[in-house]
Amino acid sequence: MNPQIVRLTYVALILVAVLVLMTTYWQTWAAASLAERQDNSIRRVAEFSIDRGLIFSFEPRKRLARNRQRAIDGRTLFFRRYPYGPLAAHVVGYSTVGRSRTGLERSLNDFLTASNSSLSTVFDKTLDELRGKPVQGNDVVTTLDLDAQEVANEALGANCGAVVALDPRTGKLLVMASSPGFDPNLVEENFGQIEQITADCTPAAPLVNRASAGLYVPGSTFKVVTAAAALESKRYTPDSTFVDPGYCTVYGKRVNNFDTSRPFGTIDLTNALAYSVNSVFCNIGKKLGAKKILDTAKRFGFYEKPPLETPSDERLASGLYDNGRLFYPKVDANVDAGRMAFGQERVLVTALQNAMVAGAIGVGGRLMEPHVVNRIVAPGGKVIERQRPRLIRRAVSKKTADAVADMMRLAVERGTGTAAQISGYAIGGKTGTGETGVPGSNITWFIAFAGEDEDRPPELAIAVVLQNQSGTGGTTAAPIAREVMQAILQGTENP
Amino acid sequence: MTSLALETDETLLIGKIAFLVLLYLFILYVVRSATKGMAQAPQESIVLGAAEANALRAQHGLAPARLLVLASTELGRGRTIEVAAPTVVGRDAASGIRLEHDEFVSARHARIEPRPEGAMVDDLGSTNGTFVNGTKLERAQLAKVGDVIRIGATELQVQA
Amino acid sequence: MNARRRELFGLVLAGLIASVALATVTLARDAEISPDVVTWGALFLGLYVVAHVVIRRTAPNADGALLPLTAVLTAFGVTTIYRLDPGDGGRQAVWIAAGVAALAGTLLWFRHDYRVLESYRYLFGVGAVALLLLPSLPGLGETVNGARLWVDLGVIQFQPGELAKICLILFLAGYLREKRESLARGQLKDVGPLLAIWGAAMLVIVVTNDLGSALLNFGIFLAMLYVATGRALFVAAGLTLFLGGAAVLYNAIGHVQDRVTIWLQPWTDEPVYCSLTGELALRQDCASYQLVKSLYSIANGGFGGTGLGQGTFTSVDGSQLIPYLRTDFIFSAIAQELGLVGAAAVLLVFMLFVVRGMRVALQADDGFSKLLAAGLTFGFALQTFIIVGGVLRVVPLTGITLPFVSYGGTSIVANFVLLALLLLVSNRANEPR
Repeated sequence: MNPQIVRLTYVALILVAVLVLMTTYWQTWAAASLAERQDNSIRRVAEFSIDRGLIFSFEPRKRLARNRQRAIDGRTLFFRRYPYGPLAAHVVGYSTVGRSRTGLERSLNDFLTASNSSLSTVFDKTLDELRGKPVQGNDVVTTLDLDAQEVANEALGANCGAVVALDPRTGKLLVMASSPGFDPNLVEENFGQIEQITADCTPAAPLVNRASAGLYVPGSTFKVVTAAAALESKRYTPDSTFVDPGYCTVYGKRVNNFDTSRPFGTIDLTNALAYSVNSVFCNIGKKLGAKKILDTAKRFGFYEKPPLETPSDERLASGLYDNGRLFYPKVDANVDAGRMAFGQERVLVTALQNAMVAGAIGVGGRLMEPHVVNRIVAPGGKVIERQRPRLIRRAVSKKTADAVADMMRLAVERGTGTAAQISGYAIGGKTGTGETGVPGSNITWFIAFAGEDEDRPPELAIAVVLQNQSGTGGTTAAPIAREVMQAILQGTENP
Repeated sequence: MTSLALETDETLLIGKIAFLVLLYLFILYVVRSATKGMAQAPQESIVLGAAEANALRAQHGLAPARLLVLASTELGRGRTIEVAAPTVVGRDAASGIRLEHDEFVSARHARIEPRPEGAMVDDLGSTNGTFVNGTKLERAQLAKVGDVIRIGATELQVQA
Repeated sequence: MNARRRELFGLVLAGLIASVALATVTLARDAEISPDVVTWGALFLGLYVVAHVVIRRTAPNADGALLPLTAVLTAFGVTTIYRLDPGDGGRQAVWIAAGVAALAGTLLWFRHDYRVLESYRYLFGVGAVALLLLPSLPGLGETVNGARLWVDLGVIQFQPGELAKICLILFLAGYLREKRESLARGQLKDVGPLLAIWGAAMLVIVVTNDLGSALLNFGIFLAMLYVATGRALFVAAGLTLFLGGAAVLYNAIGHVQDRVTIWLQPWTDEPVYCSLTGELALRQDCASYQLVKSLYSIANGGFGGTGLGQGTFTSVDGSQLIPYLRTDFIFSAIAQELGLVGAAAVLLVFMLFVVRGMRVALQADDGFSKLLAAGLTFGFALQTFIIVGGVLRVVPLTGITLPFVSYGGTSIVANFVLLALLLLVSNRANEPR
């Protein structure tokens, strides 16, 4: 029987050897991908023994997220506190045991818990582990202007909506506010309070970052894209003249201007944008076709999620939507180009995307990659990542951009956006009112860029969107934009 | 407080390392003592092949056991068989002592090993048993000089 | 007596390992080393020294490594259980003491010749089947985790499966030694009882839903059949029958089907029907919750582990993150705290036990003893493979215990009886003659 026993021994040993092999697999090769899984509560809890990196605002430098130590079962655990509560909650997000993470807390988790693969981090972490000290995470410095952020939050008030302000020259995000907001300190233990938050819209959905994940009908703000497409096509110039009958006929139906009582008569493209004349853009749209306009929109970043450091599912791509899906027409006939040209049809845009459009127009057509993280700093003070300005692409030619910028300045100077004027600054903007057909439930917009004078590239671009409004973009959104712009422009002037 | 915590942490680390070191020392110890034990293993082992085991035995200067055939349907009566190494008796072609046509013999019936005092006989789980001096083997047994081993119809007497 | 001296030294090492482990665990929990650690360490060592003395008296020539290996495995078990729940750790220590008593009892009872057991082979055969079916008797059985594995006798609860395994091995060792010649020749009349065993294995699955136990016992049967006859064909035929039967049962029994689905696809991206709540949920949040959480625990250990007493098993509010951690999933607790270095060491200890056990089978000089030792050792290895393999997603997860490590009285006592039998066989094989 001995030969059989020897063979059986080999079988038994192979069985156990397979176990060694699989243990190795789960603990080395597969460990990283398992650690990333959202339902990995063990990793999530284990990460609370890491002295998580702090999150700072840029100007003024404040701690947006810090740690509170607590000893539980002999282990020192680090729990998050957010000293500024709702102020930048949508960007910073939260890190909790029970409700996982959102915002930068989620997307930068590897850095904050020092499990990123940067060589110095790996070295420091191993050293911490060897010394038996809690591992220290890397700190994150955001680009947020905390004062302006506060102004934006206050200006939004009880409205549902969002404000995004960025530096169009670099892509640096200065303000990202979403209303209604929530206090991230309540998420872990008093989530019920967050669920009870109400606002001028239903659902209130305070956790949603409306600035990057809220899709809204762009209304007339989309005329900026249409105007750019028209100029890029070379079929129009800023001086091209149109006769405005007060309406435009699409598929045999009349589409009226916002103010039907007063047709403009003969009008050029510049004034058509400044006074937001629907019929003009409707006819341009019909001439150019939907695809041509959408292609220009794509150049501005539509049809892709704006690159930002927040988690990708907290950002949505702008574009034509059909039944909840992003949709690009195969042929022009699939889309009512006339209505699309002035931002109706099924175009949906995020505030972040619209701020990018205004910014690119302001700086001569250069579309910069937006970013909200300035740098990531190792515990010793060494900068391990520094965000540098990155050009996504040239959206439109400088000539086109400058021409549209002039039109937008005219709109603020004497057109629909006069409410956004700030004396001493050159501001170009565009209002928008997305009609839902129900009174008091308009979507209102204001997008703008602002700088010290016309000859220098503007230092900020802004997009404000509001839900459930009865007024127009010019009367509701523009004043908010003005307040925020003032905070940013004058804040940097007099520190 | 923090310095105390640090000390605890360091002691914990030492505990962890000490535990693992001890554990692997233990494993090493068992493996080493196992190979030591192998050298003394009386029979085939995982480590030693049959040839090596025989060579080891030859070193110890074991004389072959001599078996006189008293009765057999297969082997010539009066013949003396020398068993120098552990030898299987059975109907199997691989058997050292083959009893091909004896129906009462199993394929691998018994094993005979030389010993200084005679021969060690071991039943390998045969159907009809192996007998020494008429007693059925319950376990390996030493057959001394003059003892008679019966396997099926074959009787072998251990010679000096 | 060389073996006994080596055994004693090995036990001292094992005692040291247990003490260091315990000290680290208390340090991690209370930030100080309790003086009780010395007492407990001494008690642990003392217990095994008692076993050692009994072996000296009753089986002086037995293998000297098996007891120290057992001691280390129980040390792993008891410290891990103590770390998870001090109360359970104390109870497990009592069970180990009971195991040592069972070991001593078995050794003393059969010190002259354990082979009388062979005469009772059919009794053991019937006993094995009866024990396996016991939990499914109405009023006695208790359903835990979808399978009926427990017997509640009012006073004590026990898992008869562990004892059934030993009974089955005793039966097979006796039966196969008797019939091996005719089986090897392939006589059909002897195949009957074998088919009966196959039928019994299938019956066990149907009645108790216990896939793991059926797999274990059938695997032991095939291994012993192969050792006895040397016919690989039997093994192939047996495996085909088993897999065929399992495939039929797969379609017939929801529990078996669930286990396989969980094994193949523990994660889903879309919600699927969750039979536990009756609602739609991701499978990792429902049916495969246990397996997935245990994999996370293993992965969190990484190469070096979190350190003894420093693993993450509870949420910050103290609730358990991994279910059945002390029993079915104890390996994932060990793997997290000791990391790959430690988990591999545990598996190495299991391997060494297997090597020593099989060596006993090789050294034994009669058919019954060989079959007994080989069967017991292979059973030990296969049981380890089924439960740890289940935890590691190598095979579908079924709830059986990890020998000498998992929490549970029946399992500990039964495995000490297994050890006693191996020692008896080894002692006889090494007796100078």
